[in-house]
Amino acid sequence: MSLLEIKGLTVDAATSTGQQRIIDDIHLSIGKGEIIGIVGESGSGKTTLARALVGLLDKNLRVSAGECSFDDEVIIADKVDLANTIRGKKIGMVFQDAGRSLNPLMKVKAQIKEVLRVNRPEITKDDIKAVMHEILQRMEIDDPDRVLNSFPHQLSGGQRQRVAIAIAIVTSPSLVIADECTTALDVTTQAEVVHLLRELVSDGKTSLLFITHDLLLASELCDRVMVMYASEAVEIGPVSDVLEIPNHPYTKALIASVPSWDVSGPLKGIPGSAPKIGLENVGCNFADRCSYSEPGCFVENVSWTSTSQMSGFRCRIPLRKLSNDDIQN
Amino acid sequence: MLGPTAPKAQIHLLEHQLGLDKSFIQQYISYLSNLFHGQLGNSIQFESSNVSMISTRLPNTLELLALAMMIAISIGGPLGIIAALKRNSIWDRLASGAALVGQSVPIFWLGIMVILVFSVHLRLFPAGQKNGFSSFVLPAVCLALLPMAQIARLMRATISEVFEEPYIDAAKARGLSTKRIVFGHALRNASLPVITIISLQIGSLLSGAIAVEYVFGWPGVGTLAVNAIQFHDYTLIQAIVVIGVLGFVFINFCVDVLYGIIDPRIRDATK
Amino acid sequence: MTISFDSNNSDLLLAKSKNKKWYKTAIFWISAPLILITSTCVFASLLPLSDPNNLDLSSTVLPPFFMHGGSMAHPLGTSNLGQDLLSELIFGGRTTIFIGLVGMIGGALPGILLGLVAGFSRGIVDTIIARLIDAQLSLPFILVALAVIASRGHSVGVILTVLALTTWPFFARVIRSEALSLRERPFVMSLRSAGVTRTRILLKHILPNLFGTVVVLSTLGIGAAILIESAIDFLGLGVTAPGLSWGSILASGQSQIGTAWWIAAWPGIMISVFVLLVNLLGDELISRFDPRYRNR
Repeated sequence: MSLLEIKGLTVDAATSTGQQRIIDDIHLSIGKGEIIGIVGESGSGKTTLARALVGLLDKNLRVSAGECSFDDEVIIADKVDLANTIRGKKIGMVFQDAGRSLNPLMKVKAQIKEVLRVNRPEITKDDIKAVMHEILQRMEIDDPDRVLNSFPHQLSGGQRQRVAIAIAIVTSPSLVIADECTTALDVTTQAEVVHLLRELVSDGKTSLLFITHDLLLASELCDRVMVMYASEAVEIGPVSDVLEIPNHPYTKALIASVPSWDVSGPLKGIPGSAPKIGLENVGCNFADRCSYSEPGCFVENVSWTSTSQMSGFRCRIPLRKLSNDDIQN
Repeated sequence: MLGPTAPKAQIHLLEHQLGLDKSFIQQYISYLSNLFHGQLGNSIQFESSNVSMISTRLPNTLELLALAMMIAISIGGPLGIIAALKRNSIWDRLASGAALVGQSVPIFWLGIMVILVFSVHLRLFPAGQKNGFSSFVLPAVCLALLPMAQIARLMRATISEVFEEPYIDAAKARGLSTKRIVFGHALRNASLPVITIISLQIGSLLSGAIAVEYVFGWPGVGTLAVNAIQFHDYTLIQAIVVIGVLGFVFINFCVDVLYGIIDPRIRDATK
Repeated sequence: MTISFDSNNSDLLLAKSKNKKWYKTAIFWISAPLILITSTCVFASLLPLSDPNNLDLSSTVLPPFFMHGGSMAHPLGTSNLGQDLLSELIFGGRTTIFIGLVGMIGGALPGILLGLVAGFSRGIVDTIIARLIDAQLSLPFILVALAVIASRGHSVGVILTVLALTTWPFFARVIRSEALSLRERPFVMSLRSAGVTRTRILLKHILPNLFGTVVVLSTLGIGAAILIESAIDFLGLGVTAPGLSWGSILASGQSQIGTAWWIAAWPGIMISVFVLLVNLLGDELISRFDPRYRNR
């Protein structure tokens, strides 16, 4: 019984240069209390995926196929948009630049109060103060009263991030989406935020969708990770599997490109750049940069293969099959 | 002033009366000291104190200005907000179109045409003179048209820009309704540039008031100014300019204070 | 920004610009009438019009052709001195457009220069210029006009001076803020650190970036200049009788408004239409030049 079920979600955009496919046929299911990471480079579609889930797509984007269900209720599909009834209440979102996700002209306490009043009207005025204090304490903020009475620009970057997370979770949502919320932070603050997020979901009642471009960071925090490339999900599975025995050449190349302390030599990037996908794309999106590609990879459309409830991939010649056939990688 | 054939003795007498025979510095000093005593000299036309002439008419002008500004804000503001929320809809085009037309039509001509249509032909409203509330309508609307359109246009642009800001997205992600976002968040942030524009508009509103008052025969400072211009009443003109500038400085000061109240970042920056 | 599922959503259609034929673009439809009007006025003497200075006192105050008493001999009617209004309008347009153009340039040149200097120099120079701009902007233009005209008389040169004095701060203010923000851009800092002189940066890098803004401001400035000039005429401060402009025709028609409303109506319409076209053009140019507005 999964909390969030995404089946074949596809989102297209109308741009000045034509129609562009931003997300292509995504399959994902998130269970209760699970931490799922979505990893991909910029332009892979991961942020659009997050925004689609809360119904915040730009005006020129639309869902052209697939559907999304939350708690067994279809919230997103062609001509269905119920995401706005649950966002804030059951799905909380933390944005990339926390400082800018807070209204600069309003005090912190006003912003938290507002969220509570709208989504949890049953909480009485007297309890609100206690709730606010409690949430800030959970965020390990030392001086809750001062923070509550401050404006965003009067707080440090780390404090702002905590406030942003606090606002997202104060309504006790069952799913929290963190969209690159560590990207703009320095390493120390990053570690603190990751620690906070881990605490959040430790109760087993909250699921977390952690979006990042940092594969290692995702592997530290998440149970499962999904790798995205050029609008598609190319692989998904438990973190240890994906990192140690990746199935998709892109995942493998991504892992290889991460610099490590004990290996010297030139950095290993992936030659070429990610393509923009039109609606009529043929073949695998990664074929032109893949070291294992065959002529067939350029012509045949590859569909998603689910190997289990937790894993899947999109490749004609998955690496594990190759290694099983004992071919040198 | 005395005419080209006046005898020298008379010229000297007038010069002495006007203080023109003293040196520049002395004249300036006596002007300033008079100013501090609330004296701005006498009108050449009317031989009475400029200050009294201005002060009897000033309330009329202020009433007209206030009414015009109220109309401009109360119609322009909501129009701009609707235009921003429903981009490319009929409201949007209406606001932009009205703004463009308002900025293109000479205001005095508009006044004349309006009188022609609404007063003379349709007999709906009186053509000025101050005579009860209905006489306020035409001149105030004429005066308000341009600032109303400008406010609408600016509000639309500002709200649209504010809507692109991340905290609006974040507010939506928190489940807030559009109404709440517009009034609770967007409007507050959008009001800053709008207030700046309004303070700038006061300047053009004064220019417009001169034209409108004259065309509608409104008993205000504007008509006084035009008459002074036409009769070369320099002292009166000077007095009006001084009052006008002082008033403008005062309004700007108020706007600065208002800015500090609305935006806490400015408050902190000035500490 | 929720997902909209309306299949007729025009936001999904391809944006215009690249694929539209040139004769369907907005710029064409705005510039064409502008060019038409301007050339008609400029080549006025070549057209088969009656001499506007021809006073025909036997046919004074005739109404336009569509009203009782009018005829096609004087399609727009005549003035109180018997001059044909149509030719007055066309010859007057010459003066008006000329004053608008030159007046705008008179304000643009010092305005842009001062704005550049202010925005780029910072410090005390900037402060002085900025205060000057504010001060000038706060004075209603009428008073500036008064001061200059009262002391220097009514002539075209004086009008142009007044126009320059009243419009330069608008140019200066915008250019100054653009220059200020451009100055902070990383590319300027890297040029400076590479040893490029300030003057060279100003001329070769900053100025071209301001091209779009300058074009837009100039376009809008023409409209503003025309409006100010006609206001000056209306108050009786404009160029007296022999000089003919839309504003002065309007001013002369004001006294006849009850009986011969058309004398004031036509020039007002011409001014409004011309300035409207100019403003529309300016708006279109803004959306061309400013990349932020391209997809709206």
